[in-house]
Amino acid sequence: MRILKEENGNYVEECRLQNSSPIQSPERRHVFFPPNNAGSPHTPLLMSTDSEDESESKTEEVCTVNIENAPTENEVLVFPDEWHKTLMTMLFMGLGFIITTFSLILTHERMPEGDPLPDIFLDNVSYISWGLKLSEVLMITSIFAANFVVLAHTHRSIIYRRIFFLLGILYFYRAATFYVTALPKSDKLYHCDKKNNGSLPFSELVSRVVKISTGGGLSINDNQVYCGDFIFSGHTVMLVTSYLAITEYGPARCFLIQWISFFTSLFGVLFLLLARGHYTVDVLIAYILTTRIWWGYHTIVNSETLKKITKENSLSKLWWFRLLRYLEANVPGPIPSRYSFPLPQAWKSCITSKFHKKVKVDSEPETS
Amino acid sequence: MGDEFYQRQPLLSEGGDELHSLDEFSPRTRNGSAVKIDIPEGDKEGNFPKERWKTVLSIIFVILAFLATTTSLSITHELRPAHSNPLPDLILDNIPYYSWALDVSEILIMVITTICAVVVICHKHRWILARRVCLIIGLLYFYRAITMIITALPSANRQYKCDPQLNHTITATEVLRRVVKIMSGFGLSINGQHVYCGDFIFSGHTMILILSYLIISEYTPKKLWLIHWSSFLMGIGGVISLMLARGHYSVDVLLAYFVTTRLWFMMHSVILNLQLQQPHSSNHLSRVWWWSILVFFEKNIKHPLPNEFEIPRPWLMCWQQVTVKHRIRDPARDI
Repeated sequence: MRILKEENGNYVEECRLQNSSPIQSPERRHVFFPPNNAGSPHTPLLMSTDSEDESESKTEEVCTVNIENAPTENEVLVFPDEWHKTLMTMLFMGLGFIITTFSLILTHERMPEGDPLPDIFLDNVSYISWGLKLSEVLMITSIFAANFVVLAHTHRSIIYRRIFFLLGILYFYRAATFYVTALPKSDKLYHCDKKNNGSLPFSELVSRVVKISTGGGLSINDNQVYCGDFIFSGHTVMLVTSYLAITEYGPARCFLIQWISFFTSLFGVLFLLLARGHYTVDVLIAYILTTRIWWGYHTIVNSETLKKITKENSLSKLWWFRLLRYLEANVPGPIPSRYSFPLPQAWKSCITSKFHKKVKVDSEPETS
Repeated sequence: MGDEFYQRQPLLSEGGDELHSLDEFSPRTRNGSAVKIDIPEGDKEGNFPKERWKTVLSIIFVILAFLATTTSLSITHELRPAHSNPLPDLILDNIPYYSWALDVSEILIMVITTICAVVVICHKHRWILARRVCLIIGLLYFYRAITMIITALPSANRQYKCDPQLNHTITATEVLRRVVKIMSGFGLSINGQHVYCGDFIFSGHTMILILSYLIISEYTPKKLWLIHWSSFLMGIGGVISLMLARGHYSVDVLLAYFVTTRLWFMMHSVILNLQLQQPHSSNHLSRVWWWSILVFFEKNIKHPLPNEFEIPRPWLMCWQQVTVKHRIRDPARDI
């Protein structure tokens, strides 16, 4: 069982053996293990190398996270909501969307007219024209499901903060990658508006940004008539992020939700490709970037050691590392899986107190 | 030989190597009833087992990756749109074109990779370092093999001489011949062997330049700032020359930078933080597909490699084997 204890103002993870008796020198999650981590220092005889490996792996097996055994009264961890930080990340994500939209409009003007590029998947499967609409329906469903899961979570503010921040980063990257090199349309039959063939007045630029934003960047509502946003696929980013959010923050034991989410995202991506909405390389790069950034972020936030800027912490060289430190400054550790109604605490207290009053009033005649 | 050695050496720390340098060998540890004494942290800096066999495995891995990339290039050459115009590119369309700039870029690559090779070979823990370098190069080349074939971009430079495409489906023999030809030129154009085009996403030149800089800056002492700055400038110069020669699109260079640096950061986080080598549910880095390979390679390395250098003396390996064997045969000799 892994417990987070406060020690000298820092949270230190302590590893306990299965029978709950702490080993004499608990394994401290510092950068390097002390040399005697293979077993208890009271073992008089050294085991041979093989059984040392076994005991080491036994220690590894035992040190699994077990959120259900919550810390005791003395070790209650506080996860402050800090809605102001969540709002900031929401604005950051909004800025990312707007910049991506600007970038898309400018790319549309530069897009070459030629044939679609040869693609190993697209050229060998049949074309399904309604595939894009289905993909977007699956994407919207996936996003709704992820939102539902996050809203139901007690620490929704922290989770939304993380999701907005990561999506913001990905959209900024996207704005750069599809603008620098413009690829031709992957689907010859997709309607793209005519180009301006000259300079684009600023007013026209703004009105196009509004048009795309009101459509959410989706083709399903016919507002997305500006083409060229290929490397990398925004649809894939959303589908993969929804799946990661549901598996990370949804109820751990509910495999059904996780499997449904997995297949929704998978089919969303598959139908996107079958409709020639994106090249295969766009989808692959989107998957790699989304998963690596998500996993990198969550590795850092789940470890006190990795939140520090040290020579050994290579992840501290990422450009958004200091932003992460600010956003996660008061989050003491991995977020426990707890769920509650998404109501402000004041309302909940009010309702609960009213309910208790009513119960007291109802039960009074019986007791008197 | 190794097991018998350990039975009689109870004070040996875990993960000890079969071959020890003569300095670490202590005759006082022969007594079989010795008790383990916990060695304080400071004294344990010296335990970096070579595990040469793991390095050999990583070399095989990187060779397979090279084969995958060259095979992928051989096939991509046939799939690419040979007659399409180069794609519009933000940087390429706004800078002048110099055909000789590609040679400059490749000369810089040769210089920086030579410096990098010298750093690895002369490093005291060269076997461990070589293993890490081979792993990351292998991973990057495998990724490249996939990304270049799945969507084929037209040539960025119309003036670059690409071999004509075949008018039939390529056979395995032809692929093999091309693989040999490309590998004989190490993937560089300067020696005239790189006549197969289509390897755009992502840029191998940029990847090698950035990776060499990262290796040099990480594994040489900080006081060698001149070498660090020189390799940094060589990297930048190499990329700029590559673009001036229209060797790659901007997106190729950008993606190569991101993939190389992020993979490096992730790998070194796992290497330098032992908690990330444990398979916990909160260790998200354990979900990358190469995590178990890396943990397998780095299992017995518990400290960061000290940056110490020495001239490699391969003949010493034979000397050590001879002397160690001699002592095993007569273990009670020195008590």
